[in-house]
Amino acid sequence: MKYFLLFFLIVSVSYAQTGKIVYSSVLNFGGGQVNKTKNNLFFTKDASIYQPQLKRNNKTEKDQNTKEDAGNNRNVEINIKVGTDEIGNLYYNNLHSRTITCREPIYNNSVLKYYLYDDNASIKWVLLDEFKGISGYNCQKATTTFRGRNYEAWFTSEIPLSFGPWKFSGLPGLILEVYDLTGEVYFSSEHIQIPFKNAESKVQKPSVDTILEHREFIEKSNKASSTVIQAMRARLPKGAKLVSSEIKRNGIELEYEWDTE
Amino acid sequence: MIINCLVLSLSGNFAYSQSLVSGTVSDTLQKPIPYVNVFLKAQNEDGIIAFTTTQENGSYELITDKVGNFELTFSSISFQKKTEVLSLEKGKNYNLNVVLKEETFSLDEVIINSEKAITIKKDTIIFKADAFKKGNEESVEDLLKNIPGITVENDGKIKVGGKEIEKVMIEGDDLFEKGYKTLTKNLDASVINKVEVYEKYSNNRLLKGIEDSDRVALNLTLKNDVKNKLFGSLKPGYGLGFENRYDASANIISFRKKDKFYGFTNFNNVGLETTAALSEMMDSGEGNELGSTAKTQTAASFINLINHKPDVGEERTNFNNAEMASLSDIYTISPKLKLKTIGFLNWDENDFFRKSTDTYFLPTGDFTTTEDYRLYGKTFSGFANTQLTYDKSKTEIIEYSGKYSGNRTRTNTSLQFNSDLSNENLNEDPFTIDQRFKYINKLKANQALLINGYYVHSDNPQNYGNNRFLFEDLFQNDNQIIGVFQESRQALNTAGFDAGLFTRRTNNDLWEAKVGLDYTYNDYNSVFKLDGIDKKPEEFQNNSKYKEFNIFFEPSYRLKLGSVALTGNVHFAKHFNHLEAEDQNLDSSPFFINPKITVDWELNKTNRILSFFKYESKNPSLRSVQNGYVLIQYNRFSKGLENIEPLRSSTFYLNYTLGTILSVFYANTSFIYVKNYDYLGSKSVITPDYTLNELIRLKDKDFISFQTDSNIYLQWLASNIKLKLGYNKQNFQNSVNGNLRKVSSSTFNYGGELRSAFIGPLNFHIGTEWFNSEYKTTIKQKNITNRTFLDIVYQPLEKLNLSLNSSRNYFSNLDKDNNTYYFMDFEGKYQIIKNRLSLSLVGKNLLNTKTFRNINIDDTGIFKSEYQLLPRFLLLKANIRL
Repeated sequence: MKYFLLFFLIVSVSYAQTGKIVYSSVLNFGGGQVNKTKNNLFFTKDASIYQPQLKRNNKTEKDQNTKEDAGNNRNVEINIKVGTDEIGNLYYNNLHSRTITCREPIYNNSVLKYYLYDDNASIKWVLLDEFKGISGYNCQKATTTFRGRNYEAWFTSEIPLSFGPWKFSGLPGLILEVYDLTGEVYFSSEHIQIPFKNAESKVQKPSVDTILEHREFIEKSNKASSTVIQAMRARLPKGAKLVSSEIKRNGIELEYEWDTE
Repeated sequence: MIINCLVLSLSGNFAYSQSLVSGTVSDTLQKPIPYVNVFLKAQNEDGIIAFTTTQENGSYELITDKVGNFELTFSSISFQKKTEVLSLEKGKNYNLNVVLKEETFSLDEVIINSEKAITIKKDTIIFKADAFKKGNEESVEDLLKNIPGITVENDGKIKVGGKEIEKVMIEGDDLFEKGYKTLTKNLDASVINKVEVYEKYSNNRLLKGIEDSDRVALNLTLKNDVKNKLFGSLKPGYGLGFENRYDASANIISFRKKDKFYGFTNFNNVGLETTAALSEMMDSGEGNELGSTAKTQTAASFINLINHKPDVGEERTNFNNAEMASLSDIYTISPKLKLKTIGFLNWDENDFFRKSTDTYFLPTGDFTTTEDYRLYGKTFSGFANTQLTYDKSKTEIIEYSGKYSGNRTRTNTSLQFNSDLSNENLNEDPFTIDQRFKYINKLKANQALLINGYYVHSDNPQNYGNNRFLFEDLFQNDNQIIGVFQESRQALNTAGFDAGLFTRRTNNDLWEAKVGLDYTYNDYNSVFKLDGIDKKPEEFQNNSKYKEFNIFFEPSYRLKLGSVALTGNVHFAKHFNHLEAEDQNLDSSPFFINPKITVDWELNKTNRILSFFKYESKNPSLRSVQNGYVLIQYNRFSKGLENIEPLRSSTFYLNYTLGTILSVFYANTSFIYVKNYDYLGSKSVITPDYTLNELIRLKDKDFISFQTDSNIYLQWLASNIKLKLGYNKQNFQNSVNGNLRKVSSSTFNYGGELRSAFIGPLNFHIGTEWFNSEYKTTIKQKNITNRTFLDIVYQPLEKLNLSLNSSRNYFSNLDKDNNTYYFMDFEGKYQIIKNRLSLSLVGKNLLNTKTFRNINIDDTGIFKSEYQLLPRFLLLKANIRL
């Protein structure tokens, strides 16, 4: 009888250490397509994985429409949405090694290829004495500057997890909302389920794709995307108003630790 | 020694002003627990001031410089939370080992639904405006710039995800349609409560999810306390220099709970068409929506004094003096009933100057005519639209709209044709009433029924007079004829009714079925009189009535098979046509089956083919059946064909795309082939004094066209090279002065462009394109033209933007001294107070090119024209927001 009880306890403990949190994200960089996705964060006792909810692989799409306005100006609008494969971006956060294994794509000359890199950056949070309630949870504000953006996060110590969306983690409570001050990056929790039965099988370190050094990956990615952006600008039709603008690094991360070297 | 000691104790004090709290966390079996959250709070306060997590071995270290009474909390997902009270003193270290009891933390299906800055629903994103205000916003435009995903371009165009939005609504009401800039540039940001972005937007809420839509629209909701304010702006612009040039406009906006109002006015004499503002407000862009097959026909004009304008930008040849004012209003009668009205008035005076030398090469001999033409016109136009929308229920909408438009145009000309001087005058008073009724019922979530009814009445009377008789050879003249008159009128009445059923199947295929009937009654009347002898020459009078009754059924189905999307569509129609002319009556009752099949095949990521084939039978157009000659220009008569048998054609289209705009190499190639089995060709008699043109029925006309654009992006130059190549050819027949002959016309065009994408403030776009056209009958005519341009943009500061556009037009067939024309325009804009006040300097036609000559050819001759242009002017403009 005693054995039975013990067995039951162990099972329930291993369940308790898993869970699933759904985050919605709204990303937009300099007027590109608003990328709003739902993402799952699965966690076990020592690791988590953050991945988009994908129904299928999404193609990289170009959408062009030409309209004539009242002044007989031709407006050609080109809209590009870089696609995903059926897995999408993954962020595997291992508490033990304190690294995040990231799976992200590079779109180079019409080919989408995924790579893996280990990100060792740790986010240094500053806690503030500001609070707000989110669906009944008392949340405290924390701020950080991470790779070129200033973020505000609202976490609750009432849910004793140090995980969060994307690469965010390391607060003494679950992050329910985090956004950057330009409004270009926004994550918020939608749904929490603890425990979650299948989490153990989901939280696996991604391993199939080509592995690159973090810096190597970023450099390769920058090169590919600046080629695409410049090519598009250079392909604007005649009469499309030429307005010079700076090409900024687009994405959640705007600068890297090694940039100042 | 003492000094040493002092230093030591100082540094010691400094180090010890921080307290170190450390220890280990273990479970009840004394096993260390890793990754436990450890955090410190002041006693009875919420705020965490320091935190850490435990290591693999369960140890933790926490450093703080705070003193006083604190709580140290240990929390982990699988253990009971434990809080220890701790009294911290300066510089002391604390060791605290704790044991946590196992406990299941569970949160079953918690849904976070509190009011967030961004709320995402399916196809809708709602932004709470206050969360995106930074405090320096003036207009709605500034607020929108802060919102993720929305970009506002320099000219005020709003894009969501790179795509221009359809409209900006206020509390669900669309007052501006495409002219939304007026709203977003002038409305105060502080009044906005929420910004809602509708993706996959359908203009009709009931068609949402049924029709394919990639449109985006914005809706702004207002704060409650702001519904009685007035907003607006002034944009004066005045010429620098001797000439009196101006371009000024003003607008005013107001929103009240039940009534939304917008007024706009513009005065200019810089060649701008003020009616453009109207078409912006009226363009509801229904092009690619499900819905009505209603025709937007209006009664045509017989006489058009200006038959073509040169391709150098319409405002360069338009000597004008325009004043316009418009008002629009949406009034909410009850929550379910809305009334939208638009009123528009426009006055314009236009001068237009042209000199032509036309050389004809005809089977019966060659000759040249000359013309020196000056036109002066005065137009008053008015437009009113009322639209009543009744939201009967969640699934039903009833809509009525009525449009009334009328013009009054008086044109006087002075014309020297060959050696004859004459004066013409033309009075035109067109008037159109267009009434529509629409009923939409969403039968199921994936199925909608649309019923449309419409009635259009359009009347276009024209009275023309010329004080000189130019047709000595055509009519017997005993020198008593002192001029000609023509009174002409087309009156069109059309009414129709159609119903469509749209079903979006679960596999996303779309079923459409339309059925309908329409009736058109068209009345032509023209009376041509020789002044002086009061004679009406036979064959130059028209009095015919053309009636068309049409009943149709049109099913279509779209399905997707892997990478191939197929659309099949068949239009079945039974027509009953009746033409009633003075001498005879004609009847026809054809049955049409017009199939169309479209294939969109994405072979892989870099290859895509889009193709369609269609076969079409149609009735001759309303204008092509008139039986007598009618004067269409001072020396040109035209006549239709008394035949109402259908015309048949086939079209094949193929488009191939290699690469995408994202790849280094990107090419787009199109091919089109049109075969007209029957067509209406022309049979003309051309003499030095006049032209008689009539339509004849001919067989077999071919048209082929091939166009390709290739792009290569050169990374080392940060520029794109574009090469254009095109060819089209048409084979048909016509009859000139009694000779029926084959005509073959072709155009070959080629060119290249280079456009930079530099990161710096300076960018350029340069290009050139050649057009070689050729007409071949028994003789060959050739014409080569070239257009080259260079655009430069320089933006040294964020507030200052300078742009210079220049172009060169070259015509090989004009004489050497007159075959090249240069144009240069400049615009500089400087922002003085952000969003409140900006100044700009606009320079048009800087090289002061006063005339522009061009050349056109066709199978009968070469036509050289010279146009007078608006001279150089500089305009200083301000933009002031009230």
